[in-house]
Amino acid sequence: MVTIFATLGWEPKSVIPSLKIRDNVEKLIVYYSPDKKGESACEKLWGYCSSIKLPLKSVKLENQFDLIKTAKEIRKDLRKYAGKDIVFNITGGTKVMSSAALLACILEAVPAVYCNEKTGKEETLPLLQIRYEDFLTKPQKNILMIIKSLGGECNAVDIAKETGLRKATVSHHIKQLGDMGLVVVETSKKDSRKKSVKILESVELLLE
Amino acid sequence: MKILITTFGRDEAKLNVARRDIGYEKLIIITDNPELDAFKKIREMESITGTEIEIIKIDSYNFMECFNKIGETIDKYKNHDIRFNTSGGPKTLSAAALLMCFNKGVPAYHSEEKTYKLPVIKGVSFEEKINRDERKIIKNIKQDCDAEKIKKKTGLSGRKFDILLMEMDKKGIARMEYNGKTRIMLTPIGEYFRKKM
Repeated sequence: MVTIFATLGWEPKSVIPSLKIRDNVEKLIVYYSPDKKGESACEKLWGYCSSIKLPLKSVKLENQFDLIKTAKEIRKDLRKYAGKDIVFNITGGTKVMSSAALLACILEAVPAVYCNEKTGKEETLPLLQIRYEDFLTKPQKNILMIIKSLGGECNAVDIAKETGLRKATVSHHIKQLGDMGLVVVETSKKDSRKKSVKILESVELLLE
Repeated sequence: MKILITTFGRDEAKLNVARRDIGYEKLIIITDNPELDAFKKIREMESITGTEIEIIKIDSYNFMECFNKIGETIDKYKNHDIRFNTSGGPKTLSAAALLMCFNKGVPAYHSEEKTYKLPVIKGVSFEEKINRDERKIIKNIKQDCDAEKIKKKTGLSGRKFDILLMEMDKKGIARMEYNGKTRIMLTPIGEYFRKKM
């Protein structure tokens, strides 16, 4: 049994091919924009799904133009289905919705598909099924988690205290994380003699 | 050199946000319409600072062409400091760019009214997750293949081969089908890796 996730645009037509080519679809979960056209598309889809007695869950997005917020929202739902047979159709909706869904699929190693506009056929996107956070080592993840728990910004001494690691070791990991583009080291606003380590909002997606 | 590669459709507003928020010394624009007037304006603006512009033509609605061409462009400039804006153009082009940035570990941004930095781990590529024996198998698969024949070609032992197949299935590189014989098929990402070998 497979659960299909999809981003929904102003018409439900991009979602339908994913339902038709699969046997044993258990449920459809769609994300739609909080406007009249999004709601109208959702109503049409309700009609279609009820005619074939397919359970539908529709999720109204808070802001279809906020990429990170939307990705976080979708990712939270995908995690509830970890280990189950799921697929995400990212064709419909605004480009931000679509990109946010793809981002969530990359992070959670969920197969993503796209309906070709010309042929109307579903295409599988070239994506490895490896959770993206598995590319980080345990100490790297741990340090990022600590920075997040300290409000997204702290210094090496704070991290050393929390982890029990030596400051030199912490500095080495921070340098690595900086080279990976996951943290930024800058002069502290509170004390110009100190350096503070910051994580970006989007990096929090790797930690949730 | 800092190189900003960006996808582009019709709307130059997003590109202008990217130009404002992301540093660059060279600009590469990937688009399906290099004849647009918008490019004349951008060239004019960039000529003030002597910034080089390269425009790459692509069929924006052909996902795999976009994916492969973006991969080639990133490889061509791999010794430079690349940053990628994925917000321009149709969704196919944008999605191909986003996937390739994660695939190659290239810092990615999405510029709309504001610029979002995406959580790509710089320098870490998906290709690193494929080991030598898996590469051996991928190299020998041509579209749809008999597992026994592949095993012989690779010279891998039966048990090791089976474990590798399971691993490849788990990673989404290949799929198995049993119909009297086990057949192996590469997924789109597996096929992409095979073409690169």
